Amino acid sequence: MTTTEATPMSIIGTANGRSILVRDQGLVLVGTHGELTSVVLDPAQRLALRAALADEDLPDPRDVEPGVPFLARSGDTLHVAVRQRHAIPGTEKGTPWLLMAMTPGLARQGIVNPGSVTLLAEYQRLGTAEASGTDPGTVAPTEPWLLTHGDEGLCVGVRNGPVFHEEVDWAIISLADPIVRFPANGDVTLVAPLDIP
Amino acid sequence: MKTVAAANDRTVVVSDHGLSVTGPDIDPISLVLDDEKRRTLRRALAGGPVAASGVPAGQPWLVYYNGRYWAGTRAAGKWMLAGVDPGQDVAGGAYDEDVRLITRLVTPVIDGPIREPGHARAGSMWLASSAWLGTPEADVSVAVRRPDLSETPWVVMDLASGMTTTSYDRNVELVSRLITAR
Repeated sequence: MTTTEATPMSIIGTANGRSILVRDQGLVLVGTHGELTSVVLDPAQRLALRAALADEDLPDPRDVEPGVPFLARSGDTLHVAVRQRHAIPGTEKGTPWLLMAMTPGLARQGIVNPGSVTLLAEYQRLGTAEASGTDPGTVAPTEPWLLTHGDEGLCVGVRNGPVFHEEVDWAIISLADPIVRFPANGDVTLVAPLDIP
Repeated sequence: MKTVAAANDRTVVVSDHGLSVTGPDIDPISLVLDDEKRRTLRRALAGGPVAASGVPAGQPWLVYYNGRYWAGTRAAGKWMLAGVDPGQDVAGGAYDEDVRLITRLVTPVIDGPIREPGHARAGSMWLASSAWLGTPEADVSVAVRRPDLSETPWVVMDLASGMTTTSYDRNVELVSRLITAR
């Protein structure tokens, strides 16, 4: 790919005679005869495409240590997923996963069996500088954050959008003992944004 | 083969070889992507820089320079680099056009106890306190444990200023391990 000078949100390159351009709205591909094809990608689809392009081998959901947040697919929806530490009676063999959907404005959560989760990427912690001075009430509803809540230690959280419930600002999962809570903006302290490679 | 997205009558499929887009009104378009092209495309989709010149000051990166891999930070338009392979040391003032981005360095979500500086593994990369450098604003640095056993086994680069020096174990306070974003 021949990379040219590009804005932070775009890249122009070529591979086997085809050109590719990444824009805010998605992908634009140029065929060998100059024809244009565009694919409009929403934030969740961009995230899924990034995960698919990764070359890492992801573990089986049954073998993952509890308390590590992953980007995962369950059904047709992307989630922040954290494996629980203990089995729940009535679920299949292996401890279940807690999920928080990445659907904009709806941080709904659920408990699913390992067989219902497809891991896409392990979340990593970006620099703490991004959290400095950031108001929990201003971050994007679909972007997961590492945060603290009371004495529960580190948690991963997704801010709810206004359609979820007007008195519930965040859905969070404690990493020490995965359990979902729904605190208000004033009850959480941001530590660092999470992102996938 | 992974079907990633279906939008505006297009389907994006990622395979081991690369990327293809199909749709009812178009001929399939395929792009063969090697590892470097895949990394570049991932960065572009994340909204991150695709060239060394686009990296803001204060972000630690793993980069490729002069045939080797380095931990680097960009300040005042130049790159300060600390080698992570045996036989490397410090490269100061590398130009953007000579530096190729590999991946941003991040910290793990769950990490073990912070090691004493004297017990860190050679070649390992850390976020560290660098207040001892003497500038009040310099409080976060990248520290790379040198592969040799000299008296000053650390290369410490202040993230804000790019100021770089070697250091004794006793002058380094490790904050968190740095790992490559795969």
